[in-house]
Amino acid sequence: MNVTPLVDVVLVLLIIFMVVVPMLDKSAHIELQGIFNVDEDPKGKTDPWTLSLTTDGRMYFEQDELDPDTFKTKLVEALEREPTRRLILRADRAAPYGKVRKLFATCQEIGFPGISLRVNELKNKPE
Amino acid sequence: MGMDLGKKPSKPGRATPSMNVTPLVDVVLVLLIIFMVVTPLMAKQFWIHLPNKKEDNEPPPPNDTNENVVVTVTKAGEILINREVVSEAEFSHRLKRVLAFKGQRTIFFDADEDAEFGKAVKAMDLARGGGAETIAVVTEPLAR
Repeated sequence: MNVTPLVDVVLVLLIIFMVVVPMLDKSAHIELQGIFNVDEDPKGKTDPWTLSLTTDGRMYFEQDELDPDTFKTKLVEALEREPTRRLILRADRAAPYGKVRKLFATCQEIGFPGISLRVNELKNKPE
Repeated sequence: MGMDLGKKPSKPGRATPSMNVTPLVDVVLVLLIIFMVVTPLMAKQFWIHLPNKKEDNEPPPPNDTNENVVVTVTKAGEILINREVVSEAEFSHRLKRVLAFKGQRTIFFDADEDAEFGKAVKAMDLARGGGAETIAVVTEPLAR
């Protein structure tokens, strides 16, 4: 029996899953806004922390759901542990800006110099 | 298969060497497909500043907008430069002129409490397209 094609296919499937699985976000379904002028390259080499905000106002830090009252302490701890690591915000495009602003205010208070917004890149820039 | 080298005829009883490229092509095509599927999924980033409140090296959130360029988005999704409604089409052109006039490369941004976040991001995108290098969000409500 010739197992070579079988092994080929299985290896390729393995590769596909290895690539795709880390990209899946189990936390929540979030629709990102598409824009044209994205950052050239991600600032800094380190993997940023991901903060997610859904349309109905639920928040996630990495994969864990956050309690709106205690999430500040969690961010403070995170910043203390690794002061140079950045924060990235995955917010649904239908989320009300007031919620996002509140989040910005908290991050500012804690001392983050800025925050990256996660967006999709649109091609075919006008002009 | 044209593997004859000059005058030497292939010897009888010996197979002409030939490379089987089919598996190679298979693997390369599959890799191509993987990357075609994965690349559009890679999300990009958009950096915005959170000016530090405690230090005074950044100007405070401006209320009177004499020097600073303030871009706001209303609940309905209209974009304002210093409280003046500007249509989406002429926004970047307009912002370029305003920035040049004030000699600034920084804008301050805010949006209405109930404005959609997507619209706000779109406005920031337009602002960057209009030459704003630094986009700082104002964390105290400004927009009306």
